[in-house]
Amino acid sequence: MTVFAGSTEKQHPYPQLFEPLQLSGIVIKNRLVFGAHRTNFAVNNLPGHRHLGYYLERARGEAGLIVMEEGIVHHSDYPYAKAVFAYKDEVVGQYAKIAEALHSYGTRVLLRLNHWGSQGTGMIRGGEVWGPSSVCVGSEMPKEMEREDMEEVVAAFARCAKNAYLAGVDGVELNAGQHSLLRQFLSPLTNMRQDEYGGTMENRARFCRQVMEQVRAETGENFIVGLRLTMDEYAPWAGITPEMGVELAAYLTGSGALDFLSVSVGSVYSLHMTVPSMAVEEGFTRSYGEMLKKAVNLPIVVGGRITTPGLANQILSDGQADLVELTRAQIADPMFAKKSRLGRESSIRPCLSCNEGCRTLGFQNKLLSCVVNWQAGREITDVSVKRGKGGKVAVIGGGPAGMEAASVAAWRGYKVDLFEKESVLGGNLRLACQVPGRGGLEKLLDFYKKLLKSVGVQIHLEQEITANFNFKDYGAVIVTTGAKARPPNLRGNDAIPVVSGLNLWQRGLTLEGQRLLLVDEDGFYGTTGLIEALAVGGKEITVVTSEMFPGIKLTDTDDFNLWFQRVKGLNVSFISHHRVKAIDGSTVLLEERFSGRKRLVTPVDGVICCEPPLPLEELYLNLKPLCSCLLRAGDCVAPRTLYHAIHEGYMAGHAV
Amino acid sequence: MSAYANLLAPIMLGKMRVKNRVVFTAHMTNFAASDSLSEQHINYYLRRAQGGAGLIITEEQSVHPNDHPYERMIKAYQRSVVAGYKKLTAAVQRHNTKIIAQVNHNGSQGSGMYTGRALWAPTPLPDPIFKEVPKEMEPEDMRELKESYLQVAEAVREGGFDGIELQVSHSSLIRQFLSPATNQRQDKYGGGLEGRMELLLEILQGIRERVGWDYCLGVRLCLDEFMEDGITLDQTIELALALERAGLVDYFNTSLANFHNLFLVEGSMRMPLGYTVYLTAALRRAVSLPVIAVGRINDPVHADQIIKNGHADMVGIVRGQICDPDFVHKTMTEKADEIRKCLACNQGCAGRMGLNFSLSCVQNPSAGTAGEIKGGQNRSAKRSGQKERKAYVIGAGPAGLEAAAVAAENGYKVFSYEKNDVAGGQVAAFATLPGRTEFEELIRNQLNLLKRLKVEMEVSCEIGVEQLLTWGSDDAVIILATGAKTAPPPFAITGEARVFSVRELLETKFDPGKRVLVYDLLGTHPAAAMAEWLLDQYKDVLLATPALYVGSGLGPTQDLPLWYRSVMARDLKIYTDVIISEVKADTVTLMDHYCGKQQCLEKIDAVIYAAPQLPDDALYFQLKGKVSRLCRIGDCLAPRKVENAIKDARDLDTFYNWND
Repeated sequence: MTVFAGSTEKQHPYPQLFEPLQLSGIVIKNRLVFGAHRTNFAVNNLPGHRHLGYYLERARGEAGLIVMEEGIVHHSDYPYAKAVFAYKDEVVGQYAKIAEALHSYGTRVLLRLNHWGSQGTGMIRGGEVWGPSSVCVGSEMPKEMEREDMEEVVAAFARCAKNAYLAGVDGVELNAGQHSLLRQFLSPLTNMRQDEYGGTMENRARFCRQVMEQVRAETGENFIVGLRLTMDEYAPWAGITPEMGVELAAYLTGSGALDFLSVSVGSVYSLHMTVPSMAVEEGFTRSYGEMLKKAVNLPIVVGGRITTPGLANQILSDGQADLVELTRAQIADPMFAKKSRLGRESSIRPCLSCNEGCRTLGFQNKLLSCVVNWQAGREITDVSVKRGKGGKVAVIGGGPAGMEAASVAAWRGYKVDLFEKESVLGGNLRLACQVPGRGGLEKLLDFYKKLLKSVGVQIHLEQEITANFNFKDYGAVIVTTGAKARPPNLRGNDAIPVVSGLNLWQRGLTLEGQRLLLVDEDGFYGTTGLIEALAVGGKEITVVTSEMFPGIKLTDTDDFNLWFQRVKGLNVSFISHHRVKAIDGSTVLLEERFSGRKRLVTPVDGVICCEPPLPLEELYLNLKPLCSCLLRAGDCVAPRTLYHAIHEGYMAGHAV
Repeated sequence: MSAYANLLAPIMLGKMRVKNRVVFTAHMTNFAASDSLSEQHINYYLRRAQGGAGLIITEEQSVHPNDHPYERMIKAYQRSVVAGYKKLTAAVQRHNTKIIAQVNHNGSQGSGMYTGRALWAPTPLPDPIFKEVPKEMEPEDMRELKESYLQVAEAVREGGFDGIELQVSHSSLIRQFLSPATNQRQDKYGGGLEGRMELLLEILQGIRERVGWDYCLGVRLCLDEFMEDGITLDQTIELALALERAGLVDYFNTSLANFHNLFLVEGSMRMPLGYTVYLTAALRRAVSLPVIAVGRINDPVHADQIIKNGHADMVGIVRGQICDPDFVHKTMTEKADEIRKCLACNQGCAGRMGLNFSLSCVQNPSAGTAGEIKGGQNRSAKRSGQKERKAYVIGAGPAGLEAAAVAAENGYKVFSYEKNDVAGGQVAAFATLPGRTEFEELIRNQLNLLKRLKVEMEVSCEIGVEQLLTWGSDDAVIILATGAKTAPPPFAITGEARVFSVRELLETKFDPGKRVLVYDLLGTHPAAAMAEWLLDQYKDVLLATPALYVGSGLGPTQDLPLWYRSVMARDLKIYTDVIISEVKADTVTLMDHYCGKQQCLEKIDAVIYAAPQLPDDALYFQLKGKVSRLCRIGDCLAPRKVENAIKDARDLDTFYNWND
């Protein structure tokens, strides 16, 4: 949702960001790029309505350049069920619709072209994956491509580029970044060929160069051809390093076939760095852009954890890039560019880089969504915000669900009273901000506070509402009272404290005793953050989980690797696939989950139980027989994640 | 009189007559399209009807929008399903096979990923697999749930199904109500068994009121949850008797366990054949209604005995009929020895479900495809007047054996050669490892087929390039299935160290010594089974892997819990998150690749590594360009799994226009 109330148009402080740029004779109106990313919106492996609505909204928001999600170039590659097959001629009509719509808003559009190579899978199409060499980087050993395979793929790239050209798309971005066959050829990590496509830098670059030149030959001038190039595989023993990246860039640029280079990072062993979470610093790839700017005479695109117009502009003004890719930021707020231009930065709905909604990797084929933006992915189905029938609405509980519900209801014209029992807003989100590496969640709190003020929600702090609440003046009551700790069900004999993780967070991590045993039956940030915070604070922690490894849900957001690296450097040890059977004095008896074998951990000064919380639903249930227009949202329905809290809050705010 | 008279005798389920005792019970397929039964479903179920199954029960169909635990779920609450129902039931019933729709709500055993909605459950306890806290159902939710079952029952009847089955077992909201472990409600739907049963009774009663008392209605009960405070056999018998007394149902289907112990539901080859029958027998002894036994029953002799001995009235054979849709037909026509027996490897079927792929079968990759339908192919033998075509298959591992069969089925004169003294390739070697022995059935199935097709196979015979060039010049087809070779050890070795790949150790049968380190870069069976094999020999076994845990590849096929039970009870020392940086004589240096910490393992007599292999493709490249009809399949194309070997061979149908 967007808010413009109360701002006046003023000169924006981002001159570089809004300076047009020409690529291959085509004018791009500003430097903001909505980069290519997987959405799972495809229908029958073709781009569809959902894509159109999605990209169109960002064009309305004044993005200068949109790069459409990858089109797969050849039938040997079927990396996920909802892949778009750019080699199917039917794409032309679909891409044409999108291109026309985007052009009508003055936005330019490119198509990313890709082949996953050995990072793909044969599980869907039933055949083998292809790669430059017999190097297994996932779970499937690829076939070492034969000459005729390579010729086919080169021709396929060119044919798909031609499809884009015929559709009126302004150009293509060839992927030699993450998940790409082109990078697998470029990199000594994956290319061990003995022929002229392997060995020296020029040899390894030969395949990529052939693709580039063939693409250019098929499409000619006034068509943008760019290369997304991996600048760091984070595998210095054999992979592409920044220095090698510069070398490759210089060599490939020399072909004259390219109009820009776009920076990518991350490879087979560092997937978590390609679209990293908020644990990674903002603008972390800008130095690679700078290196390229110094080495090649070609416009450079830099992206990665850039979420503010200020940082985007600075990267440009510091000479580190010519275009900046802000993808997740424009998923979160499609009006990012427009708001920046109009000086309404404070109204930009912030990307948290939480990766909870937008991460579409894997085989579950989840549709792209966004924690802070309910409409992301639903542009074609969402109806515009409907005005309410007027009157008063009470929202009880000022956590994310309540803040969202209150702001939506107020935006719809209701007079909203938001009640919060603490002295500050935020609920359990405030605790979530304290998780090491998750301080970026504060942005959401700041945003809501500003938003609530700007839409005129009346906030009542330190007001705990009970069933005696007089709601007769309110047309509707929304209960968003959140969650409470699940009482530990471990049996001890009171010699050592046994506490729940959530309670420990709530009381500021104060716990006596040095040697702690923490039970992870939650696997999420509340638990992993607790382990880290306590260990950083000097505690010695033994983590016991019945799962095969701790922090299991962090793999969903690409945060696991970095967390594990950090805690392994601290005084933390792990015992997986075990459960706590009993606590006897300062000895904890564990049982192995499959065999029943026993094991002791001793001495232990305290036990922390991290389990999923319980809903605080008593108020809702008590009000239910008394109040006819009663709704609830978020954790007080069932404790889940920030995504559910905000989305349910949004829906509750709409339902009144 | 048939040796399988009991299995082939008809039976009445309520008013519904079923022509034999073989049931294709409900199982996930991921075949749904547009939230509905698809063409693929129709092909799939029709083929089993053609093959003689007496009764087919469809995969579960969801009764409510907030139940969407996996992407391709059939949404029975949408009116659009009825058209698909009619097509399916008509097709199957033409073969006098009865077809029942299973309906379900998974409750807490799902996630809000696709719906964005809270899950429903009796009590807010998260499920062990999805770990999402569900909402405790409110009275209006209970009413809505019941009504949704009733409406779906009506749609099922309208769609032409012969009956309805309620899933009340391993993944079901109703089971969550029945179980003391998940139902701690204080209202009329909780408390003792009577309260916990109330929801099921109300739904069954409601369905009867909608569809009448003549319509076939069954329940699939959970025989035992095998967990503390869970459903026990005694409770289930009590429940069944209560349902019987109330006259609500016509039969009892059975299952067991839940998501705490899913390996008991779709038992892999590690589980004994017929492992659930003892429970089903106990139920059958107590009740009068017909009872269906299911679980690792893949042989008509065994199936017939189960019925003859009174352990069950009908037998669910799922994987057995996925693998060989003509299971019943072959049994009926005294060709039971031609049945392609299921291995319970779970790789193609259950193993693909969790990864959201559609169902297949290692031995029958055309399961669910239009090509599987009888009469759908036109396999002509050589046309009259045409010269006899020859096919030479080099290598008699799973790929080569399958390719030889495909060529023979297409009327070629086939010559199969194997350089080792037994057929089977790597499968023959790996099938000697614990928990993998049923893989020997794979080779046996293939060899039996080749015998029936009269294919000549020669072992201990290595064919050279010159011979192949001669054969190939004669317009014969040359199929290379020469398999894989071991890759060099993936770590530095200095000094005298004994290092073998898993395959090398199996083939050479060297004694690795007393204290052995297994190094796993695959996460699948080679390392896991090797470690177990070494433990069986009372060796001191260590296992190191860079993965977060050993055996991640064992999870989807439900092999993981039993493997861990076996090795954890016997002191296998596991090191995760590590790579071997160096092997120096009998000292191995491990490095944690997350933090760089190193540790040394001393006095290691041998290191056995499980790593990706390389293609044995030398012969292919020597012949390429010199033989016109040449191809390579299986591991010598790219080393993968046995299902790829067989599928590559089956796909030769499209690669070669055999009759051109």
